[in-house]
Amino acid sequence: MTTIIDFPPFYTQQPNVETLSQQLQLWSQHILKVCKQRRQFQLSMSDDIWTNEKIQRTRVILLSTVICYYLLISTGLATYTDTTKESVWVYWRTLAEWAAVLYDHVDGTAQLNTPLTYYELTEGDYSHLSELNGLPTPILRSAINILVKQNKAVTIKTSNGEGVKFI
Amino acid sequence: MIKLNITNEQVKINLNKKENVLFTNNNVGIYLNDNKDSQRQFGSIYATNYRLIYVDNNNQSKSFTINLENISKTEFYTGFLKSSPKVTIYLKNMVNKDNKNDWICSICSFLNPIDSISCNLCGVVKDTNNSNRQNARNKSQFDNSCPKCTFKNHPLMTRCELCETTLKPLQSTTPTITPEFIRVSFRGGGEGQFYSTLKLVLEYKAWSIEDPNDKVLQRDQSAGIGGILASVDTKVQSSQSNIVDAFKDLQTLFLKADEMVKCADQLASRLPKNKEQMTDVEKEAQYFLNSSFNDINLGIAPTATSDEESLAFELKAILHGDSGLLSGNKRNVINLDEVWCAWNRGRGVALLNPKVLIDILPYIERTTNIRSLKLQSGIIVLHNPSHSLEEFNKRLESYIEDCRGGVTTIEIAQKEELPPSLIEDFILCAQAKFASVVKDVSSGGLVRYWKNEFKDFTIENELNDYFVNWKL
Repeated sequence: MTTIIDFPPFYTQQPNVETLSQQLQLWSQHILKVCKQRRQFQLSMSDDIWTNEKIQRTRVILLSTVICYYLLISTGLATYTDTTKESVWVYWRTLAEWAAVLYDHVDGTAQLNTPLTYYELTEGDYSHLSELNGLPTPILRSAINILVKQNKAVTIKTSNGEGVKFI
Repeated sequence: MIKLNITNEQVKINLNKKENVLFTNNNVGIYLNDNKDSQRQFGSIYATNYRLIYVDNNNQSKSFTINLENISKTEFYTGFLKSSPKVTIYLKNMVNKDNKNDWICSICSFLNPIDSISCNLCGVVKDTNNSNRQNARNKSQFDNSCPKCTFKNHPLMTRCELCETTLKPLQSTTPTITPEFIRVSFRGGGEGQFYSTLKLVLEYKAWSIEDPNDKVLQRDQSAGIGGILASVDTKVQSSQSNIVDAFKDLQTLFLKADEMVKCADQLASRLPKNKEQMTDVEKEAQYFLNSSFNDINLGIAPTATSDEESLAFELKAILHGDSGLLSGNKRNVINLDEVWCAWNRGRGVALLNPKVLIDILPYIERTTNIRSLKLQSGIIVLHNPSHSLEEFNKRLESYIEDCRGGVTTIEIAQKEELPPSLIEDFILCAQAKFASVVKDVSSGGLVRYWKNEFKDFTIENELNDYFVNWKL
């Protein structure tokens, strides 16, 4: 059986509500899968994920907006990167999962109670040991905020940037 | 005074567009200055709002005309014993002597009077050559130049010496007699009326009064974009006024028709109901009444009924009659608008409200196998059982099955023998109801329809739990 991405009607917004619902779910699952494979955090409306050159389906701007708005954002699996709403952060791990990964990483590398910068966490030497490498700062900040609420971290404001101390 | 060569019959033709004859008298004689003009003693005088025309009754070549604007003043003489009453008309001297004799300074071009030897402005002595030149200029006005080859002919020539074109008789060649005044002697009376008319016309300067319509005409003739716009404007205005007039006429026509019908009704009520009691005259009247009803197409009106059942019967005949809209294999789907039009065409003047048609649809559906269907776009169609949404959807699925690659709207339209736009509407409806067909728009904008296979696809993903209870 061919995959969904080779089924031409996949790229057209379906008029029937029930069918549309199925279609949007398939799209969302597809996006999360692809983003995870590519370790892609940011997804724009003109990303090549929306097109399929093989079967010549390229005009999906409306559909991509609908998918991002109705599905990913309503299920909390994406947020807009800015007010222009032209791209989203895709949470192929949920924020709670990211928070857990973060805490495990810091704990695993024996950095608890040590002030760390955001840069150290995502780009530092130890970052390659976990999935945190390359994580955009807005996602990282949201994950840390979850830990702060759980009293597992304290944010530190310094003159040359933000920092965090895990407890 | 300009000579004319006309007879009394030709006067009317000779008049300008805006010229009206205000007064005529056919027994007058003319005096030039103080002398009797022996050749003009029996003629007619016409006073128009532009000029005076004298037409000699004996010799038409002696006729002449005077423009009213050239008249300086008039006098009235009541007559005494044998001398007839006369009206004296003083003429303005048409050639301005002053202008002719003034000279223009060659240095500062100041216009000096004849008697000054040097220029009044700059003091330069009058150039004698200057006056010669002016003479030459005056002379050139009388030049008889050919309108075709522009050769300057001798004033007496009637044909061009070079090209033989007939030369236009110059203004100066038409002999103008310029007496200081003329007298019109009224031998048959009517002098009082003539004098008062003339006075009035001269006082109001009737020749200089412009007709407002005249201005419009002039604007029409102006050239360029302004002219075009103006002409378009006037055209629009005239057509608009035509339309307004037409509607007014139509309204009055309606009123008249109403009156006629009322009148006919009254007549009919007066005639005895029982045919046997009718006299011949009354029978004739009854026949005439009926035939005139038919003539003006009101004959259908009495047969057109208004209760639901008979209306439905009429509509059924239109849809399923011998040449009905939905009978035979002609058509299976028809727009409600079309039905309404066809029905009203059949009814003549007793037109039906569209609402009546919609109200009757349930009755039609109860008694026939015709069904109505409201499409997604809001259009209501009537269709035979073969074109219900269920049947259509089945056929649509089979078309797609045959194609194996998505079927376009046009292909479906060809197979169904229906307009593509209607097919699109039908498919939208079928999709909303059955969800067995999915739409696909390619990069080029071409619409295809596929079998709904969304249910068959799954994507393995650990986050799928998030979508389990998700619904639009």
